Amino acid sequence: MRHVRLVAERIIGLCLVLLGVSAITFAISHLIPTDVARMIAGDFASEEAVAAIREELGLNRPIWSQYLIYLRGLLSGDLGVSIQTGQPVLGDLLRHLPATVELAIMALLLAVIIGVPLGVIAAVYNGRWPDHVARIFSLIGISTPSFWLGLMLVFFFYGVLGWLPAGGRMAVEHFGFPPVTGFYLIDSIIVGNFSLFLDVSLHLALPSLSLAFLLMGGFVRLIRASMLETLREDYIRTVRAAGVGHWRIIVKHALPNALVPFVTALGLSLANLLTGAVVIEAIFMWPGMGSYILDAAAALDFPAIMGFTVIAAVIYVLANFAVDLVYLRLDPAQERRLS
Amino acid sequence: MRPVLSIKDLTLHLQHSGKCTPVLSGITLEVMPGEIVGLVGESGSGKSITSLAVMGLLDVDGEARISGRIAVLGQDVISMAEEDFRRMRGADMAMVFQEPMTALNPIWRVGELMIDVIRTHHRKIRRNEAHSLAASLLADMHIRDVERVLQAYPFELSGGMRQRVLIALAFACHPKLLIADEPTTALDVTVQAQILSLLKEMARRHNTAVLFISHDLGVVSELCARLYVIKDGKIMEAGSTESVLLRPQSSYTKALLAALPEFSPPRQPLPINGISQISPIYHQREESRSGASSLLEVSDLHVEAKRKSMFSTRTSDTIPILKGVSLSLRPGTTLGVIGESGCGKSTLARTIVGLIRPTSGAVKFCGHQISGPGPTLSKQLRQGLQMVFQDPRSSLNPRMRVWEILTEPLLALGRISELERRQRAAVLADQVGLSKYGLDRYPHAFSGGQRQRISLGRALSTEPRLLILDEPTSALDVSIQAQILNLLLRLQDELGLSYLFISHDVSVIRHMADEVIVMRSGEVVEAGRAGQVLGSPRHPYTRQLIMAVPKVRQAS
Repeated sequence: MRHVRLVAERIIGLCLVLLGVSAITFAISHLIPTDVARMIAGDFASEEAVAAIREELGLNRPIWSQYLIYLRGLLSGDLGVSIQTGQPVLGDLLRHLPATVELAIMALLLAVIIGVPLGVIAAVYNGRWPDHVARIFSLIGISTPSFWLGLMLVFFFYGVLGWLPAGGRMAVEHFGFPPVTGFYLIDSIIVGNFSLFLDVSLHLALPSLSLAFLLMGGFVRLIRASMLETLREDYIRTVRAAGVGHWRIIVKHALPNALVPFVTALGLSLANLLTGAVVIEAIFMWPGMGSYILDAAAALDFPAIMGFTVIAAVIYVLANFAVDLVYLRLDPAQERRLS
Repeated sequence: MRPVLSIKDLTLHLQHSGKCTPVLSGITLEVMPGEIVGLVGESGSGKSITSLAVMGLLDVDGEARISGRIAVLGQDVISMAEEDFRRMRGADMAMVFQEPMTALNPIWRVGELMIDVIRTHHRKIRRNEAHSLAASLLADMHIRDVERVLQAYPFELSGGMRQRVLIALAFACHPKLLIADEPTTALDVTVQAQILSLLKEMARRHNTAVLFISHDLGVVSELCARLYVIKDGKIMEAGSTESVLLRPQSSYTKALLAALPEFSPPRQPLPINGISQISPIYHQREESRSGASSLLEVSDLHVEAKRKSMFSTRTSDTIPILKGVSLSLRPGTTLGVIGESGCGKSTLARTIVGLIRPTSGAVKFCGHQISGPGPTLSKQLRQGLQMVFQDPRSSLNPRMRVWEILTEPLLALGRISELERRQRAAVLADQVGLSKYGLDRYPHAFSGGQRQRISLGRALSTEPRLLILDEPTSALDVSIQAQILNLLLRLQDELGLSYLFISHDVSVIRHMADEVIVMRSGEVVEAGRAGQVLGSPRHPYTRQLIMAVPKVRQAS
């Protein structure tokens, strides 16, 4: 029952956030001094043609009425038509979404799988050499620009060693494979094509690693700090006094508590992940939302930019809602604070 | 008979960033099977460090250098391999700590935690066997709804219940030695009485040797057969409880006993370091006492807490905290408010100073209505009313210098130059006995007692007529408490102050108060002259409260 109320409150919250985001993006797109109608019509079109387009797009109406029309479109899933591709923006975004989500999830998994154990080890060996190694590693992770790291990885693993592909989502021979879900790892399993699965995995390796590196350094620091704090808690002393083994205390009695603040950071790091993906996708020719929005921004394709912003906001709010649910699992006492 | 615990000449130095600090020097003590032995000392005396060294749980910044011998069941634990030592912990020796609120992992169900510990030492026990063992351990603690407690998370249990769980956990493998480090200090007196009798019963039944660490002479007097008195890492005195408390040999033990409020007549200054203090002349007090009109008048005060929710506006979501509290305080006198945690005494204080808005009822100060659903406290009146909080560690801003802290309330009253502030701070510091300390320092450079003097000085800065003292000495050691109580008595005499003195400690209230109200679940159950209420209580709850207080054996 309390969960139902929590979900209901979040959905109302989501609607309010979307209202705000749509208002802000709409306002910004109208503040930028470009004449959309002129852009569509082209430099050599006659004034009459431009005026006709303006009339057709409703640009002559008062701004609040334009916003209402835009909002009505949003509610029915209509994000407008992309100036660049001439296709509905929603369809364009949904086509590009799986590639980015696949990349982001892989990157997040890698960052967690490498970052969390490193952070734990750093805390357990606080002040000794494993701690120093982990901290230097995290410092490098935080301070290395991801585009430079991506290029270095390509140079080394593709250029020098030739082990991994340099870009794209799959090799040329697999082109023409009809996507089922758009998540190629899952698709290749569904159709039972092992060589495709391997190929997709190899293509994912470098971009997801570069993107993971962006997050990993922060994760190591966060886990280390919260683990150090947890290990000083009274309840850890209680189980030490009861004779529970060293590593069992660390993994079972301390780590779950130390993960609580980390989960919040996971939700917030999603913003990093999405902006990071734009850069990484450009380097690795990854056909995701990042590449799409980069092209759209260059072409001042306002419907596409606005659509992307709204979709990104939805993803962000939903992800943080998921984080709250994980929170409830991790810390039963939180329930009272959240609801 | 061989001792279960034998410490011989234990010396411990802390090596930290080039400095070597002695912490323990030449501690020698023994605990026999089935014996309950007290280790008594004030904070910083080294009593907890000793117990942690025995358990092998010393976790300090820097390096601890230990010499001497600690033998548990005849085995030297200092030279023992960590893995063997770990197997002894929980099985042969167990420990119960002071703070039950934080000693249980918030995300483990009680039952899961107990099963985990039981299976650490008995690998072959199956889960359901461990579960029923945990249930029987809890039943031994006189817990009635065992299954509910096993399923509960710690935040669903009261402090007393958590401490029972922790004692059950300590007895899980029938240890030969139990170390109890201030296990009842954080609990209410009535709960404390239950926990102490529980410990006694368990120790007798399992013939467990108990090393009981405490600062409370009353508690050890009722519980322990023998005592060790520790100060600055040295054993000052050892012997049977009777001989230590009735015929103390060392001057430290004598001073400690003399500082207890129960051994001095009410409102007389307590001896400091064993030296009697000159009593003030109560001139102003007697005059103002005869004054008929009351300084503070609280009538039928109700406070309710509301559960917050985005949707719900239901009124059923309110919890009553105060249910019609009335009191009256005459100028120049002290009104004691006594009650256990959750009885609403702190809410009462906060409502009087205007930090909480009451649902109904009125607070009148100097004849003006200052709190209630109506208008708020005016600046001028607020000046006459100040508050001192319990914990001087957390109630002083660590980033402000002491002179700034002392005079901060003046900023709210109007413009004041830095020079004026510093001059005022010097006067205030002198009043509360801090004159020889540098006022440019930050609070962390001061001890607990000195910090409480700073809080007191800050409260005095606006020249108030009434101080609300919310457990002002509960976080302090007995000897420091004596100093602060003496200071409060002197200030009352010199400045004609009135006190609303809130405490859970019956003997402190008896020593300080002219009149007393006893609170329970948001209501006043008994009110009257201090001597009468605490001497011959009429309400059964007051009687229960007074009976539960452990008393130091006194020469009769």
